[in-house]
Formats: sequence, structure tokens, C-alpha cells
Amino acid sequence: MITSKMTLSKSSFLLMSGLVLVAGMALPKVSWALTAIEIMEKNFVVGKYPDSTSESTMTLTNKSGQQRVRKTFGTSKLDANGIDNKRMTRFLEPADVKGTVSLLVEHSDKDDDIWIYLPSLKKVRRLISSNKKDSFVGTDFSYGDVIGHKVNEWNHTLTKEEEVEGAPCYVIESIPKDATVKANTGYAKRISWIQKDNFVTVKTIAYDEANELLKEATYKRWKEVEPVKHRWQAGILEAKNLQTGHHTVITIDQSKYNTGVKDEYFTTRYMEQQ
Amino acid sequence: MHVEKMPQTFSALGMSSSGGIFSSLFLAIALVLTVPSLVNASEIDDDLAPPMSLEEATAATSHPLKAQLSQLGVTGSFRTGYWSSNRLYDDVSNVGTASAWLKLEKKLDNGIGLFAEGYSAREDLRSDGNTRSSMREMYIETRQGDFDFRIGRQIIAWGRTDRLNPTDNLTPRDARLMAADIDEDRFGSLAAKASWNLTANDSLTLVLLPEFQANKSYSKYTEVIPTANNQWAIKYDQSGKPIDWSVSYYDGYDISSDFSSTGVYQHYRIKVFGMDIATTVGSNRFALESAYTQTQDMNGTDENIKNPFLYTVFGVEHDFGNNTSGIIQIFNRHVYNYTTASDTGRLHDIFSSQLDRNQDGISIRIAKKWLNETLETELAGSTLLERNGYSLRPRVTYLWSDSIKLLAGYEYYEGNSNTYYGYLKKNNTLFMELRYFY
Repeated sequence: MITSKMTLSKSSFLLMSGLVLVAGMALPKVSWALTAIEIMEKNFVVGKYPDSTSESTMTLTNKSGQQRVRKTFGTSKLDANGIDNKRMTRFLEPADVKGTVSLLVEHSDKDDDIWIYLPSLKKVRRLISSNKKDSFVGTDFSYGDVIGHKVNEWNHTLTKEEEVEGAPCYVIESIPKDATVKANTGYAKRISWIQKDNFVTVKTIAYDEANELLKEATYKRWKEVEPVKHRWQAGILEAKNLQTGHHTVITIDQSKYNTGVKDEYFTTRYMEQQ
Repeated sequence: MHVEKMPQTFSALGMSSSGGIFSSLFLAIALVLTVPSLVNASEIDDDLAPPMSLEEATAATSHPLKAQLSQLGVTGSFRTGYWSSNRLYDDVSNVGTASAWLKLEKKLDNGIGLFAEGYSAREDLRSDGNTRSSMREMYIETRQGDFDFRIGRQIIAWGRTDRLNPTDNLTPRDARLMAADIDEDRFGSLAAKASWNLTANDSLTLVLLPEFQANKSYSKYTEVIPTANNQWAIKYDQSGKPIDWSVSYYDGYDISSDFSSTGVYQHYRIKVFGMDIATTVGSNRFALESAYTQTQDMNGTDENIKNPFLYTVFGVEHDFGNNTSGIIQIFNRHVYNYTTASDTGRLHDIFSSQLDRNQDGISIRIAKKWLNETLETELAGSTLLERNGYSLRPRVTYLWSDSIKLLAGYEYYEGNSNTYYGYLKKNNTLFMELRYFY
């Protein structure tokens, strides 16, 4: 009996081992794909903190080294759904764009709303928002890069793990699920290096619609701005267009988080005030 | 008969049109300088203004003089340009221009905002050239709870369609100004504006205009400017929701004149009932704006006064991607109690866009930004379908650096003498302008 039991146990063990082996052979792709989605979902929410006020400097440098510097004051506030943000940006410098204010209201289930106040027009104007691939105020970041690409619009694959500046990272390849996403974002593929310990993005490279290498972005000086829920914000954001040689550095000079930003910032009333 | 158009005055602020405005602006700056307690840093969370510390940070990284001006809230530009023709309907050609623009924006500690902007321009550098100055705006503003108040000379721009705005009747434009930016021809009237913000998206605005300022354009004929002070307007506006809209009413003098058969420009009272609405769907923005204007000649019997009319503009803007967008608008002016113009009333009807019972037209604008938005190209145009007049305005803007901007373009008008475009032909001009921002 004992032998029999042992034999049964051995058989069971072998059967189980076989199943695990088969599963192990069959599952890696499924398991890695699920893991990639989970990683991207965690990555998506890690930047969703309740609110912020910040002062930033955008330095835009063209291929020949000529620089333009824009200083902004911005606020953001997370919607009750925990996904959508409202973002207001007021340009303080240079003189040519001073007083320009943009208001972006994200909608995860439909197109976002964007308004802009141009001092020369003296009024607020609603803008078309479906296009996420155009440059964000002349920088090398697109509107999609700034808002964040929706996880469920892309197929994600965990391709490997490697270190970036000593930090272990997941390397995720993201392909748009359909032609509309590709056309709206301008990307045929994105590869993201996501830090394993806190799920922040430290580096991305993106390919244009013709699948040519388009840009590389790095995100540094991460700060945990909401320790309870582990929300993070980068202090230096850098993007380089590898096709034109133009690059952008956005530095968060001052910032405050989770202070209860007033709703008035996100109104056309505020935009019109000097 | 051949009398120069009467000069507008800046009587409300006690300033002449050709001098004193910059001294007033500098007075305002001096006021800010001499009351340092009013310009202390504001905290981000205490009000809705950017913190002063950023201006200080900016100051630390900029040119010392520029930094000082920045701290004071002073910016502006020096401009010089070449125009192949002026905007005075004459035969003067090859005009060199130079101007200085000055702007003051300051938020005081007590929440009061100061704003002033003006320019002094030499619009023909030759010895007999035209020199003039203008204070476009100079006001103070504050917010008290749900209410916003703005008092002083101010531009009030209403309407949601593109550049053709039937509801935009409160403050005028100066068509003589040789500025490469089309909206810089706006200038303010003395007004008190109060807005009651009923919700985050809804507001009710009341405007009182104790001073009347008319549109300015060069004319050899006399213009009579009313001195009455009982103009007002009200608007209910909703914005920030999926659809932006407003309804408005204006009761006051018409900023566009009526040309009488006796050769005098007059301004008559009008009542304008307006509305506008705009929304976006996918890659398109739709906008509709309409206004019904009651005039002092409701029966259409006086050829020197406009008939009542309905002016409607509908436009679609499409985003083509790659920083390229296009707008097409159709517009219609329907004249009530229309009668065919007599020979003596013909000019009035041409200048008033009332030569036909229905005046239909199309306007377009195609724009593209290049090189990280340093280069912008634009082609704008409009045409009148019944009379075949049209205008074209290609323009290129290049931002050489944060301080230097180059603008060039061409304004072309074509049409017979039965169209306003026909009269503008003398103003066809190639222009180039260099701006230095400080």
C-alpha cells in the first residue's frame, strides 16, 4: 500500500510536474503579456496624485544649439474617478506668449476638452483635442505623452528586464491596438523602461507611424509625492527628437502636491484673468 | 465736404491720442514701484495668481534690465517694418514703420490686478509721415467671491466664430493701424464690467460703457462721434462643458458708422440680440454665431441709416494632424425691409453691407506650424458670393528666438466698386515686420 501510495504519489507528482511543465511551456507568453498589462496599469496610476501646483521651465533647443525658454505656472487636479486629470498651464515667459493659458480636461471615455486663452484674441477658445500626436506647445513631447497613453488602447509585451542607471527595470513594448490609435498618437511602437520597485517610467523610445525611430525621452529626479498610495512625479523630463535633433528639457522648479487645489483654476473665468 | 475725419479722443482718461499715454503708463509703473508693500510675493494657495517667486527666479536668469522689467510686470516690443502701401486708402507706397509697444501686468497683494497696454507708432518714417499713439487698454480688476469686476479702458471681445463675429459690437478696431497681427487693431473703450459667476461654468456679465468709441478708418469725410453715455450690454455665458454657448444683448451706438448722402459719417443707436455656440466632435470644431440688429430705421425708409438685419456665421474647423488646421465658414447678412439702393444711398449700402437683401460669403483659413512651432504659415481669405469681391491674406511668422520675431505677408483685395473689397484695393500691401520683445 505504501508502495502503491508512493507510486500514486509519484505518478501524481509526475503528472503535476508534467502539467506544470506544459503550462510552463504554454504560459510564458500569456503570463508575460498579463504581467506587461499589470505593469502598465501600475505605471499608469503611479502618476495619478490628487492635485499639484508647480512652476516649470521648458528649455527647447534646436539642432544648431539655439535655445528658447518658457516658464509656466501649472495646476492639476485628479477627478473622482481616479483616472482623469484637469490641467491648467499659464505661460509667464517669454513676453511673446506671456498670458497664454491652456486648460485641459481629460475624459477617459471620450475625447478630452481643451480651451486656450490667447491675450491677443482677448477671449477663450475651445480647441480640437482628438489629435494627441502634435507637439505640446512646441516641445518634443506630444499631447499624448503629457496626458499619458491609455493602457487599454495598446498591446503590451514584456520583452526583457534590464537596468537603467543601476535601477532594475521592466522593458515593455507597446503596439497600438488599431490604426486610429496609431494615427492619433503618431506612434507605431513605444518601448518603455519601467522601474521595478515603484513602476515609474525612466525612459521611453517611440517609433513614428512609418516605424522609424522618432524620439527618446528620459524622466529623472523622481519624487514620491503621495507616500500612502505611492504616487510619483518626475522633476526633470527630457525628450529628444532623433529625426530633427531638436530636444526639450522640462524642469519642475517648484511644486506642491495634495494641498487641495481650488476648482477655480480649471475654469474659463480664471483663464481670462491677468 | 472734404474734411478730415474727426480725431478720436481719450477724454475719459484725460489723455490726448498723440501723447501722454506712456507717461500715464509710466505713472502706473511708478505707482507700483513706490508702493512696495503692495507687490510682495503671493502664495500659490492663497490666491489664484502665479507666485511672485517665479518672477524673481526668472529675474535671476534673465538680462538685468529685462529681469527688472519682468519683476515690475512690464513687457513689450520694439517693431520696425516695411509696407508697400499704408492703410489709408491713398497712393502712398513703400512705407517704413517703427513702433514701441508697452504692457504692464501686475497683481497686487490685495488681489487687485493692474493692466495697461499702449503703443506709439511712426507709420511712415519719412518726414511727412504719420505718427500717433494709443492706449489700447488700462484697467484694474478684482474678484470678490463669485463676482469679477473690471473697470477702465478695456477690450471686450465677444463671439465664438473665427474673426467674423456678429455679436462683437462693444469695442472697436482701428483699421488704419499697420500691425501684422490682425487682432492688434482692437482697442478698448472706457467700461465697467461685472461678472456674476453663478457656477464654475455659468456667468452673467453686465457691461456699462459711459464712453463711445467708434471703429477707426481713414476717411476724408466728417464723422460725428456721439457723446452720449448710456450704452450697456448683458451676456449669459456657459463654458467649460461639452458645449460652450452664450446669449447676449447690446443697447448702444453702432461702432460701425452709417455714411449719409450728405457726406457725413454718423453713428446711430442699435439693439443687438446675439447668440453663439461651439463644440468639438472628433477632429472637428463647429461654431455658430448669429445676431439680430434693430436699427433706428426699422421700416427701411431712411437711406442714411441701416435697415434691421440678421447676421449669421457658421464655421467648421478641421484638424488635419501634423500641426495643420483649416477653417471654413459661411456667412449671411439678411436685410429686413430691403429696397434697392438709390444712387445717393448706394455708398451707404456698400459700406454697410446692405447692397443686397442677402449678402452671402465664405471665409477660409488654413494654418500650419513647423519646426516645433517656431515657423507658422497661414492663408486666410474671404469672398462675397453675390458680388464676387474677395480678399486673400497669406502670412508667415518665424520666431528667431524668444526675443526676435519676423512676420511677413500680403493683403490682397479685389472687387468692383459695388463691394467693400473694391474700396480696399488701394490698401493692397506686402508687409514685413521685425519685433524685438523685452
